[in-house]
Amino acid sequence: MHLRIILAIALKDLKDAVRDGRILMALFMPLGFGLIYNVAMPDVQKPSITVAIGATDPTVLPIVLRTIAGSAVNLKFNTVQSAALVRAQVEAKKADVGLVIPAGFDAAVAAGSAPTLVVVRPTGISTGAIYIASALDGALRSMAGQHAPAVIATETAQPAHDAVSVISNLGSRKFLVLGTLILLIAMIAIYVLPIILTEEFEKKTADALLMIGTQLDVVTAKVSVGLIYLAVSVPLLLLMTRMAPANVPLFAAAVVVLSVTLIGVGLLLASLVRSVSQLNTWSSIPLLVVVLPVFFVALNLPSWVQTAMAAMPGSQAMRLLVDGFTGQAMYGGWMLAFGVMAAWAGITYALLIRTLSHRVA
Amino acid sequence: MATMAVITEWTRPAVPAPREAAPPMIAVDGLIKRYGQVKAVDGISFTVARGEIFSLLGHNGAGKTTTIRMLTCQTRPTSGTAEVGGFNCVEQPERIKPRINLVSQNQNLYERMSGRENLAFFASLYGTPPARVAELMRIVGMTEAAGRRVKTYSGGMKQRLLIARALVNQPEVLFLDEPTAGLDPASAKEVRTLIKDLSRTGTTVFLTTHYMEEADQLSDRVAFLAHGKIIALDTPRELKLRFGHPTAKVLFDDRSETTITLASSDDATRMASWMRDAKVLTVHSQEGTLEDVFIALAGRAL
Repeated sequence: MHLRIILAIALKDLKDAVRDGRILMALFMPLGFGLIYNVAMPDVQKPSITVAIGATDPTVLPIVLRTIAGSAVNLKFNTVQSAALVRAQVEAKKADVGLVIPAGFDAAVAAGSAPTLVVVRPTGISTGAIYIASALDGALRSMAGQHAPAVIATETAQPAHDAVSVISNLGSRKFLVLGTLILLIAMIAIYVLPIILTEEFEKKTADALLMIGTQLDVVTAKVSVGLIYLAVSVPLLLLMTRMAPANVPLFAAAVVVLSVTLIGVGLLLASLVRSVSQLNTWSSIPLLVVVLPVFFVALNLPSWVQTAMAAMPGSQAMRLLVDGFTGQAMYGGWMLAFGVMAAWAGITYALLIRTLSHRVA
Repeated sequence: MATMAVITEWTRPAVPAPREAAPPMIAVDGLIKRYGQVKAVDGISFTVARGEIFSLLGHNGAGKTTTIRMLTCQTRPTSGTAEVGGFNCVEQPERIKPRINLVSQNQNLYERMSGRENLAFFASLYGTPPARVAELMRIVGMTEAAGRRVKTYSGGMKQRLLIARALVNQPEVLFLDEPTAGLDPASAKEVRTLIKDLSRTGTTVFLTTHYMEEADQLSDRVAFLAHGKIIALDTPRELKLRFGHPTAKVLFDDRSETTITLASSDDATRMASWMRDAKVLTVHSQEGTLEDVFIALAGRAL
């Protein structure tokens, strides 16, 4: 391999891509999808309630309210020094609701002397005020050391970790962005990379390159271009869509292994076709094989379909990306997922070497 | 159209002779290339001296391009040996490639890039200083069009750019595969002038062409290839003398004319008779052509 030659070819391809509408389209289409999801599908946010607390003595009431709210609501407390300031915050809509807590409140509650707690509501309907007012009864019972008349246990109707629960936990936007990430990798590896390689051979410009370099130099340069596109566009898509993976090593490993596998598929495709028009015809098949199963992981399909989809690299990559993004083992089976992608890579590169050796002979 | 500059100086780095003094620049011995059952090249042998213009002539499919591909290390021969600059094409392609270049019959340029960008790219591949790009553009008379995209160039301009690209590494041996195919007469003439100029600078030129007149004008020696075999190899003059049929066009005093074959004793007798009778106004001798030679050897015109 000749580094100078590889670098020169890669730089030429990067510059040339700016003038090639097909490549620009293939690169920008997935990024455009990401932007559309951003605008059209805002994330479902947890309700947030701001409570103005006016207390002269320390009180555990905010802590108890937060415990009762759990993860269902984001509670924020603004502590002020007087009842007037509490009312001012609510009037100014700086707080959804206000609580005026008298001196010695916690001790009085514990002693059962029924102190007066004033709830300051804004005019009109305030969901935050209703929520806090209804939560106060349980909180005060807890502070008084009383047991609730019954224990309320809330359960989700769906069994944990199935397809629907993944979407409901992750949100449709984030799920679709992760799917788009796989589409982006597939477009670069199975469409852009084969185009720039096939075009060199179809237009015989490769003959001029081979006057000084080798086939390995040319192919390595094209793969480098694909990797550069991926290295730029994958973080760009995540940045544009405000997606930060919780388990970065797992997420990155899934992206890298999928990229290597799909680049193998792209090179194999380029070695089998003779022209860019043939490539345009045939590249849609591997693209569909990779991208369609990605979205199947979000559907509750019959088990045999799920098993079949589990053999696809796109499906396994999606499972890893979801787990890597959430930082939870929502799907699990990471070794199997990497194993399936590695098996695809092994078969693809073996076929590629066989095809190239036939071509050289 | 800008006129091409005549190449008057050629500063190629000194390359030590790999073998004894004045070895051939190209040496081919018993070269065979098979594609399945088809023998594209069938045991050809020849040498080309340093600075020589050597032409390989033949029909389509005669094996010309396959021969060039083997000599430029792009195709492995089935058997036989091919050496360029004293280096073996199969075993030492890394030594040969920096010393040679090729003008392909396909106008294989990057059409979305400008002429200057094309040359700059190949200069970077060969590690040639960027300053050489402007010099080459000047040599092929394309300075004004250097910034235009190649897809806007005419066929002749593309061909000149291909020649400039092939000179980017200052090759010792330049292979030209049908360099004037499809060009208009003016462009073809410019390309031929460029080839002649190159040869004067000491570059060895290996040319394949369909055009007999072109081979005749340019070549020091010519080889005829038919069905993968060399059927004749010599200087154009020698080939024409040996295989051609020189003729003479005779104009009579009654304004009628006829053509006689000079090698024919019958025609010589008739000519002597006409001269004796003072019937002849003018006689124009015509040398045999390479096309005559090829028809005589291979049985049909190219």
